[in-house]
Amino acid sequence: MVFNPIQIVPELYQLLLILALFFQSLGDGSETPPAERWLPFFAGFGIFVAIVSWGAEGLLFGGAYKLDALSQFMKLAISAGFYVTVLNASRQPSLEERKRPDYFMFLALSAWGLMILSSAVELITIYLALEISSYSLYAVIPLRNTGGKGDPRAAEAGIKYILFGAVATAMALYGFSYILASQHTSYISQLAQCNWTWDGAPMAVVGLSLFLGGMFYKLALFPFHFWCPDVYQGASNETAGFVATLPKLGAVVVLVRLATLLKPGLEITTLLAVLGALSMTYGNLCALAQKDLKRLLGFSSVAHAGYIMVGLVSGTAMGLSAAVFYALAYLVMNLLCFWVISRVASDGRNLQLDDLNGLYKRAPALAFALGVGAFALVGLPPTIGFMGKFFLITSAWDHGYNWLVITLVVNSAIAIYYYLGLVRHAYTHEAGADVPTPDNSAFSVAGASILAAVVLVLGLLPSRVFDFAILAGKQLLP
Amino acid sequence: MVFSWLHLAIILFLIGGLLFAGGPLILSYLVAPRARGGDMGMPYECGMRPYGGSWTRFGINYYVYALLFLAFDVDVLYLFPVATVYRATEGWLPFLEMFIFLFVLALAIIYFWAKGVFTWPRKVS
Repeated sequence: MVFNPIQIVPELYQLLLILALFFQSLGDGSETPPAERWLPFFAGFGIFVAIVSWGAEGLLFGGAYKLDALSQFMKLAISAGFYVTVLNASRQPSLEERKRPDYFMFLALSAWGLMILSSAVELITIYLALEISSYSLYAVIPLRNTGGKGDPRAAEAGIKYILFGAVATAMALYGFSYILASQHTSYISQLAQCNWTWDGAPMAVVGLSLFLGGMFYKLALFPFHFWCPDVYQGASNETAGFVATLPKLGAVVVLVRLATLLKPGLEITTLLAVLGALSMTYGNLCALAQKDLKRLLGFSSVAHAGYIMVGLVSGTAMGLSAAVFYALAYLVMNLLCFWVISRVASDGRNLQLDDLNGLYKRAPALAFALGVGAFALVGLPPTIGFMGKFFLITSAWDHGYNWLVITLVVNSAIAIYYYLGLVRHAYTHEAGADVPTPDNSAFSVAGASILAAVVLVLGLLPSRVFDFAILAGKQLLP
Repeated sequence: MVFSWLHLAIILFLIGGLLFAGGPLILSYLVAPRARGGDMGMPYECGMRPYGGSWTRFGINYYVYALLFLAFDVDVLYLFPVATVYRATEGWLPFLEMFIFLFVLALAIIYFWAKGVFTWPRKVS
């Protein structure tokens, strides 16, 4: 076995960070610099480390671990997302001092699991990587401290996430047993040559549907979305910013790899399309009635999970590329929105829509960034959200799922109301009495401007990034 | 679509699964003896009459140890298959893989230790 450590240097670097945080969490923290001070620098360096192994290719660890354009693209996105979430969480008001190294260790561990997930091409490896990333999040979500004691809402969110997660995991493993029993392999490259029609291999179809259920849970697709708004609402703003963004990337990467098994017209493909349509409709309709900002974004991510399905059902390299690109767009847009939320709620409270009133006066930069984020989530030009939807729609049209594309467009129209409601509250309403004081420091403004700039620049000049996504798609479906 | 024996098998398995989960509940509802009074209120039955009723408070200090024991017990289960095939392996790779596995377990013990799980908590008076 030829094994070159340079190829997996992003994973090794992340592991090093985890070990450092682990040893720091053992002490009482009096001799070491606080984790929230040093970690952002090293996490930022991790982005460059991910670039070093950008072109790595190969099949490692007995064929279970594949380095290709998709995995390296995702690893770069994950390390960038990890950097932003760490930076965001470094000024978390609702986190106890002595729990910080542990908190960041679990965040790093979760990101590490997702990095492994983006390279895994064997079902058991996928399952293990997914569990590494989920278990860490189970520990992080209840860590919210309001008024000197643990927040009961956060504990409730943690319990819900664990219980739903356990059920989804059990389902996925049960489905895996069916796949293994009928197709006699767990490697995706071999599964791709198998028969996936209901007539030919009904057991495998049932198994794959159940296994996909586990991924749908992470992505918060329609029948598995119950945890999503509750967990976002219960967890602290910064934790929700992590849970809402990075695990979705991991789920998308697995779905993209598994979508290479599917052709348009198969029963599972139709199932994906129907769930996607239900998910976007349900998510958008529920979001219309929300008053809590994080609940609103929770239902919005249910809807966005549905949008991603549009790229997966077409069965072409272009469709997979569009799904990958949309996942990146989703990551950037949500990081921006959660950055603004965390900075506006500088005391760590849950923001209501009315708390945004008059934001344009109190924090003009944050209000503008929120506007950019909302426009991107709707999918209006010139933002990355528009380009993502544009690629999704063009890739899926004329592959037998035109009704799904029409559903997507109709849903985008519904979604305008509540996304632009954010802008309406921030710009046209005057502030009431009890509004939080937004953080207007250079740190907060710089972060918001950079993220907003990324959303706009990738919306105006998406071709470079999209070329990488196309390369990833073509490697999967030549 | 043709309804084949395989579909029947899947349906039978589904029914079997439901019965497996629901059967004991129904069965215990049907056959469980219903008794009241007498020694039913005792905390445990051992031939000697224990002090107090079953509503006394118990120390729950042991539950962490029970959880830890369970976790490591299951981990050790994975070592048995390795031990049986270890003689037939060649080179350092199996050793390295085993070492990584045990190293992570060791780190977990150190973590519990540092977080004070092994210190006996003082009784709340």
